[in-house]
Amino acid sequence: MDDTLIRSTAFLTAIVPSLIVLLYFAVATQTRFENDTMWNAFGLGACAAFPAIVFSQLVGQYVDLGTDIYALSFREAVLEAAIPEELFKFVAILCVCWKNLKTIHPRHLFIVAIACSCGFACFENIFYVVDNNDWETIAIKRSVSAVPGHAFDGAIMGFCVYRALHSNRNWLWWACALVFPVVMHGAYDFFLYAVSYLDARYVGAYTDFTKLMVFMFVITVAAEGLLAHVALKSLVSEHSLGGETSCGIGIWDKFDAISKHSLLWCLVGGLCILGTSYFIVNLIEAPDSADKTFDQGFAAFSILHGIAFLSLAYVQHKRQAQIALEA
Amino acid sequence: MSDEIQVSSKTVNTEEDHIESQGDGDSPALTEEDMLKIFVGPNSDKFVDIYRAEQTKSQAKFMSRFNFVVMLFPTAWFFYRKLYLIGVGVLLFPFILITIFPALSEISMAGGAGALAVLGNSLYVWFALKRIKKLKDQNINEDELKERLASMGGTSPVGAAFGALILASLIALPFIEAETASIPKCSDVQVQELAGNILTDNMKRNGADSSELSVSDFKEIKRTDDSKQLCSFVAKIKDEQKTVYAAVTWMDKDIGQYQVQIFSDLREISKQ
Repeated sequence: MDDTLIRSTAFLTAIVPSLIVLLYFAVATQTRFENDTMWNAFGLGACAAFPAIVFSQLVGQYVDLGTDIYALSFREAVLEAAIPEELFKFVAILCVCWKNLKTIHPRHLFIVAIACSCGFACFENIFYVVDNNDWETIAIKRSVSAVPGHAFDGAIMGFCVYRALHSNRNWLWWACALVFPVVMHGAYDFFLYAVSYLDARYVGAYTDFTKLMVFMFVITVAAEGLLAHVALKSLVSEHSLGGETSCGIGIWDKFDAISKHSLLWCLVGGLCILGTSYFIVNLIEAPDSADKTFDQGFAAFSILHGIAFLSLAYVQHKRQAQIALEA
Repeated sequence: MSDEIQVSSKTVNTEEDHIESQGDGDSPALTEEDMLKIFVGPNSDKFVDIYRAEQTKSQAKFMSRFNFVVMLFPTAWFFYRKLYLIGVGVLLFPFILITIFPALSEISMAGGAGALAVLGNSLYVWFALKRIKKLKDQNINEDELKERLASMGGTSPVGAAFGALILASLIALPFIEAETASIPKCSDVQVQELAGNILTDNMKRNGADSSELSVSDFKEIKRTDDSKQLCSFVAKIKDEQKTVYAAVTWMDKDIGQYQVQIFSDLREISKQ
């Protein structure tokens, strides 16, 4: 891909999904757009990719679990991907919040964890999308699966860290802060790698095992999203934010107002639901294959994302109506 | 003489009165320079020197402006000073530019390191004053102001450690990639996929049904000086199975392009 315009477009396509997902959670937790801590976390999360890559390369070179499909998938999914990525995201969160771990507001801690994950996902997405000849397909598929997947893992991590700081069994919650995201991330990648190996072994034939792996992948992503939203609901209902004052800088106030407007989220939600047609088109007259089932899964993700964004639009509309009533 | 003493003591009392009145929420008596010292924390002399030079529109001492730590370890220093976004920008901006404009030389990016060495301290002072102004505009009392200045500013050893880890990773990455850039193994999914596809194509060309073909048990036979990998695997159709051999060799190592060749007999490989 030599054309600068194409590369620039691909670059924007690579970074926009993670920004939208971050803003979604920021608006849901009523975090202001210009919150420094959130953007610091986003940047540090992106930087966490470097030590994660080194760890992954070293594991790939020096750890050998044999040639069994499932052992290979486990090594690549868990040892090379899930553990280093979630570990360094966790380190990035601690780096941002270290000095005020006990005093940081739970909602801010939650959004810091999500911001770290979105930053990581953003940087990772650039390398998957920009240098790929089929960048449009990769960008669209990753925007409904991998990018929100990272954010969901971050949400689970943030929730566990919050519980660790404010409960009696804090050692258990600290362990959960790493174990849950590693398990979810590992499961996500495990099923993907297993499908690749099964596809290679059975030379494109769509076996029952392959179907099961694809189905488990779809279930994993849906479960991640569900857990993240349960954590979000729990935090939002337990802790009101109230009193976050405007910084007084005009342009940030404008961005904040736009990001919290229900119309924006209606548009994003509508685009997601319309985007489902992109995957459905590929399903028409397609033979049974792993790709077809993946596209069915991506179509389902797209609808679920659309529902989430439209729900946020409704919640924002109610919040703004209440503010207008109180005024 | 006594009058002069009285005048002096009146001056002292006026200052004390001024400080006492701060507790009532009046604007703090702290000067901007004092606030800068609190914000910067340890080793504030150089930054205060730059601040004073800016106020008097003169040039600060070269050793105050020049910071060789920023030149050598930019990300770690910016993270240490809690300028996280600037540290991230310094780290990621060259990568992003080269991703979009591959023709850009990495050497041209290195020129930025020299600029940072000269501008790093001034940049920090600018950032600190911006933060101080933001806090001053909130009209809080002196004690809280000092507390928030110290909290917002200061240093972060954890940040420095994280920044150092990232820099170490960046330095180690090319060496590790050189070490791991070897010919793909027999267990590599793409090698297995290629082997399966070659067999399928061969069978189709011969008019055979390849729908139930499966390939498994990829094993490494021999790996010669990182330029050739020999594998054996089992090709199975229904109840029949046969051991087949594959040779993985580089076509263009610089771009990571390799080829897989299939043989039914080991002796055929040695003829290549």
